[in-house]
Amino acid sequence: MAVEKEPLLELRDVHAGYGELSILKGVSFGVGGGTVTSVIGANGAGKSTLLKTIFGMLKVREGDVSFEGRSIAALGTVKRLKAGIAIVPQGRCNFPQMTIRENLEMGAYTRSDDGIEADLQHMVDQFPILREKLHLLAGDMSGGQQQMLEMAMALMVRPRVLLLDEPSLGLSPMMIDEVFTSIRSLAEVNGMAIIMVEQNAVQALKISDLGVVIELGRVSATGTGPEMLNDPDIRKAYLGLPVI
Amino acid sequence: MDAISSRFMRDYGWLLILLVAAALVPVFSQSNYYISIGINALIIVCLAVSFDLVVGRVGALSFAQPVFYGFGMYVAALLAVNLEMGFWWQVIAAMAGGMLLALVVGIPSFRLNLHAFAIGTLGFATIAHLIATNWMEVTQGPMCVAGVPRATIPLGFMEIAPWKLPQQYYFILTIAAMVVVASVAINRRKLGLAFQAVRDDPVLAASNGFFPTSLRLTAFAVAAAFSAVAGVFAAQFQTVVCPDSFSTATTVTLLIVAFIGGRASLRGVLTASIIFTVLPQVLRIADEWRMVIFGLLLLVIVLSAPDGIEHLFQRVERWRKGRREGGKASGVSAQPFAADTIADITPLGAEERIDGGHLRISGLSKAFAGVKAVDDLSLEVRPGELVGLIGPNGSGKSTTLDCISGITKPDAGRVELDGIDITGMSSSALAKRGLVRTFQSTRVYETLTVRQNLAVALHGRQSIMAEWASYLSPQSESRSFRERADHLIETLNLKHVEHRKAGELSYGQRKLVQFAASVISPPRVLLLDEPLAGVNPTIINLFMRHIAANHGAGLTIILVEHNLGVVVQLCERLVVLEQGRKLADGNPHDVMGTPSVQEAYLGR
Repeated sequence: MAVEKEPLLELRDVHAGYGELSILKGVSFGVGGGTVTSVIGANGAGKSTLLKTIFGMLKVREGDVSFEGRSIAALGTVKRLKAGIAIVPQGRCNFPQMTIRENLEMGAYTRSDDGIEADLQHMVDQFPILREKLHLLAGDMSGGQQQMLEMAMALMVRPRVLLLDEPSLGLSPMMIDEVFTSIRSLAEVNGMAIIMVEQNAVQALKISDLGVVIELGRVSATGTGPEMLNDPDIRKAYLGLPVI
Repeated sequence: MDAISSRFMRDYGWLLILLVAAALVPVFSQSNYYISIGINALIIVCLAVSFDLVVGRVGALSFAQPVFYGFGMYVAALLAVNLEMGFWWQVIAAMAGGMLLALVVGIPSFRLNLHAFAIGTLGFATIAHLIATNWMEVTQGPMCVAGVPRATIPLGFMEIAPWKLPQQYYFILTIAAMVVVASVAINRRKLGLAFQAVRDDPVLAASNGFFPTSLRLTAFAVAAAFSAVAGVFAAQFQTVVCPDSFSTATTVTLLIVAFIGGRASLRGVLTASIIFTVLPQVLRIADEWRMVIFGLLLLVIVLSAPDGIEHLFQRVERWRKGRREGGKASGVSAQPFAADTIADITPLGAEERIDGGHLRISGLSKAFAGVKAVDDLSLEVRPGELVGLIGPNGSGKSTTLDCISGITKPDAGRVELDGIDITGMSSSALAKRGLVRTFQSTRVYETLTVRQNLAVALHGRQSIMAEWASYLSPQSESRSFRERADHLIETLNLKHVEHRKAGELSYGQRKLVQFAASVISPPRVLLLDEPLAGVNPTIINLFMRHIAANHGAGLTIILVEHNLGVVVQLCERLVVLEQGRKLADGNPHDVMGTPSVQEAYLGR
């Protein structure tokens, strides 16, 4: 596990919501580079809202979000993306009428360097299923394949912080193993901080350095992956596992 | 009763106040000038409300509304001049003719998609103008139908002769009030919910058993009748009727009114109609700057309320509510799940027997861009069987469900339900036969509440006769619906969000709403496409009990799911697909032990 130092991304008492609804009511935690964090909680607890707030799709109403020691609460999504925060939203979120290759190129839209093609090749090495289908329309691929594509698209900006909203959603067991393995290695090899929201909480916690439970818009528990997996309350309420 | 009437007053009291205010206009202003502005505004109200019925409530852009208004005027004028027919005959002829015309235009235009409909109505508007201009024998072309007699309208006990301006004003106010009341009535009936459902998601509506085109046509025809009647009324005090009645300028006015009013918002549309007709007249004091100021004011409205005036109303309401509640921000978050409390709830369907359908698929094939998604697949699912359909991503599971449920047409092969060929049948027709599916990409009616989502699903699943017979009944919940809905909502942990709009819910909650909607009326065949993806593990246990209970009652189920723990535990039979072909078929234990399955699916 990484040595405790200045966290790469830190949330302090973050409040956010939609219109009159306030969803997050004071969320605080920090994550360091090279770590994986799983956010778990009931359906509708505010997990996706949390990721959207970190990425800047929702305003921070109270509290602060800082990245590399500087507050980013006032920055828009494009600036946060350029600073190195990328998100893979939940559900289908690609350009269905474009080919896989074009989608990957769109992932690098904010970049202007000449390393894009190399990164694209790197992506298809990492997700071989994409190589076979580079010329096919994204909309014609299966749900699981689109999920892979979306992750590759996010990686095209070489993020330092990667936010994943249910990366295992709709994936077959083999794919889930693969995705979780690559999430782990992305964090370790590239020093990325990965924050993911997962309902497949057991498997997610197994590869996580930190688990964060969101309940009623607040952090109700944090701990290392194994701590969470052994906590009887969490097992009962969020993991659907028998209490040991 | 008192509670109901006071609620009605709270919801619609403002309409009565508006009506009284409108009725007082001629009393306070004797000037013909103001009264003419009022008449103009009221005509726009009639047209805008009927326009909103089509554009706002069923979401189909129509350029034809002014045509039906002009049609009503011509019908009235021609019948009066040539056949000396009385007012009520003119009304009947205009309504019937308008609706018929709407069907003639609507049926071919709706065949393709909503864009085709918009273009179709635009073409129709152009043709109508050409006919009015060039069919000299009937319409007198640009010379107009002249010498329209001044009408007297028999009401049985008295006669009205709207020859003076204030009388004409009240005359047109009456029809405007009737159109508004009719629109409110539709909105408060089940038809209003069905319209909203079709607008929100036609694919989901079809798979709930609605025929989206029929509902859109209904809205279009009713709106046509409204506009045509307004035309007949307006014709009563015009001595000439000219082709200009079909002017496209009116369509532009209606579009702007709809845009600044807000979608499917009566108060927004009424306010916008009044602003748009009265404001330019008020601005006459500014002389040549009039239109510039008017344009700027519109711009200010659009910029400050991009979702229309309705949005401003909602903001004011929220602000007032916030003040009432002492500025306390309201928030609804999911409660931590109380797994213990649901232990003794009877799973749904346990009390009834379901007559499960018999599904037989043979030689099914479907390709996308040359890639075979499903390749010569044959599969039989017996009544009451629960079959798990698994396979790697892209192996054709969802496409198979799409082909069975009428979402996509297979390239080859045959699907039979109880021995009847259902290949290529629409998903609407299949839902009526009890073949119901859920979608992997979670579809819900976003502007309807969770409870309304269930109510609409139940309504669509009835027989066509029952569906249409109950469209004009109120939206109140029947007892059996309430029991079923309450049970599903409670056991799927949706209680705290039951009155929230489904569009505000999280992904996992939408999945649950979608599942609840699929079993709110017991289906005969249920196709579940990854119902558990994104659902919290604790709820998965409940979900499984729902599925098991329905299966126990005799429902035929195909379950596509990646959560193998669930699949193996629930299903008595597993079918594994790979690259669109059947790789294995048998009891879960044997299938999972097959080396080829382990390699293809589990990577071991």
